[in-house]
Amino acid sequence: MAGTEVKYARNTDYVFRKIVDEMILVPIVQDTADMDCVYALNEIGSAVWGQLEQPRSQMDLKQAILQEYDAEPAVIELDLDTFLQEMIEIGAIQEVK
Amino acid sequence: MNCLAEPDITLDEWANRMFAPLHKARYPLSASIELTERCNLNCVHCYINQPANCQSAKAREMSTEQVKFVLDQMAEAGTLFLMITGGEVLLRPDFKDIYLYAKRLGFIITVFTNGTMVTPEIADLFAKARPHLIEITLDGASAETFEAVTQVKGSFEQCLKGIRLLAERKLSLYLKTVVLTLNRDELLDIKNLAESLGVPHRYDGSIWPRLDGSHSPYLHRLSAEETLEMDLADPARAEEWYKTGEKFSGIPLRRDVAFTCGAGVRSFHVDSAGRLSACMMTRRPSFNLLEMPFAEAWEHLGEIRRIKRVRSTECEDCLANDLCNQCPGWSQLEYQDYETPDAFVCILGKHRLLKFGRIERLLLEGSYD
Repeated sequence: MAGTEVKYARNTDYVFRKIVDEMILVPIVQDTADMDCVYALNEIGSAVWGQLEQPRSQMDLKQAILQEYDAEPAVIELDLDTFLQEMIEIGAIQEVK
Repeated sequence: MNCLAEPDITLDEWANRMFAPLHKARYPLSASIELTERCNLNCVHCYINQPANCQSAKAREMSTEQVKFVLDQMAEAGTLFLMITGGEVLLRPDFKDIYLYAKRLGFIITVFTNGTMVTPEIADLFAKARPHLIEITLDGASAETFEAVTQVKGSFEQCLKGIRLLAERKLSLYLKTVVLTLNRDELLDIKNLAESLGVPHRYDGSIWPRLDGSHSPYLHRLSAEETLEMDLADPARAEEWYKTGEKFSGIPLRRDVAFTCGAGVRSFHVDSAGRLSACMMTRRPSFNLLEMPFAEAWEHLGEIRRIKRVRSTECEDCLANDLCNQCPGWSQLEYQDYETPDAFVCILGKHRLLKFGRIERLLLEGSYD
């Protein structure tokens, strides 16, 4: 339904770092994650994180990634779904209205 | 610390994978930054401490904004691991501001403190924005011994209070002891105290000269023989030395370049004035990050890695290798060059070679063929 579509946003308590060729998220505060961990992102994950400079819907993200990568839409959709679920689970990405 | 995205690998394994594409290229992964040379304690073994109210040391320190400027550059260059050290870092009234700024830049942070200035507010700060590790020096298990080292009355109870405030918040802590003639008889008690506090502990007898050239820390140093006894008294510690000794087959491994450690390759140090150098001991050459872009300073620093040995020393055919702690930083502090072996380090290395070196051990036992 228009106007109620779920959008996704970065949790600003995670910092994205590119170290050598690895893309990682480093948590800053205690209540967002296990502070003894850093989270390595793959290429698609990094691209999604980049897209989330502004809150975006899953559809927006899918289209943006499809424009950037030459891959089957179904594969991208699955990767995106998995990534969002994992990031929501650790609190790095939040759902916003 | 593990990488949860791939829960089966350790951070070390992850770091190795990360660096594989670089081969031997330099990359500024790890740094230490000294926020101040000043300290509220006056430990007899310290290589750097200046009095807490020392105006000249204070005048040399970077301002808050300058520290942030340097941290920005380090983050931009790809530094991930950051050790914040002093002096006593909590002497700086802007510590909280600097610490949170560094956290926001995504560094994985270790904090060195003497623990005596940890307040509930500071402990809460760490509990909210957790460092990877906090290391605290615990040089005694009694006020008498601890304060014989720190030379400040009341510091023992303050330190314990600080440790407890941090431990209560389940922060990742490490206690460490510099073993001296003043506290060696209390080492077991210190280990027990650490255990009762629920905090891991390590100890070492390495003492450097002071950065100002003074040898005063040596007044309380164990002899080489006593240091070896200390190695042997702890089976786990002795085992590590035996393993190190097993790695060699009696071949001198000394290379033709002065620097063979990781300093200036994967790591660097920034002093309280903002000068980048190879490590905490090797302070020269240094390049001021307030006056020079990080990339340029890092490039210049790389020149020390090409410095060839030019002097003939007894290290040339010595077999102690990693059983010896000789390093160019030590030589620089003592002799203003990168090569002259420090006599004490040399004697201790030879003691360890005779005790832990595989061939030497077999020779002594009469079973070397």
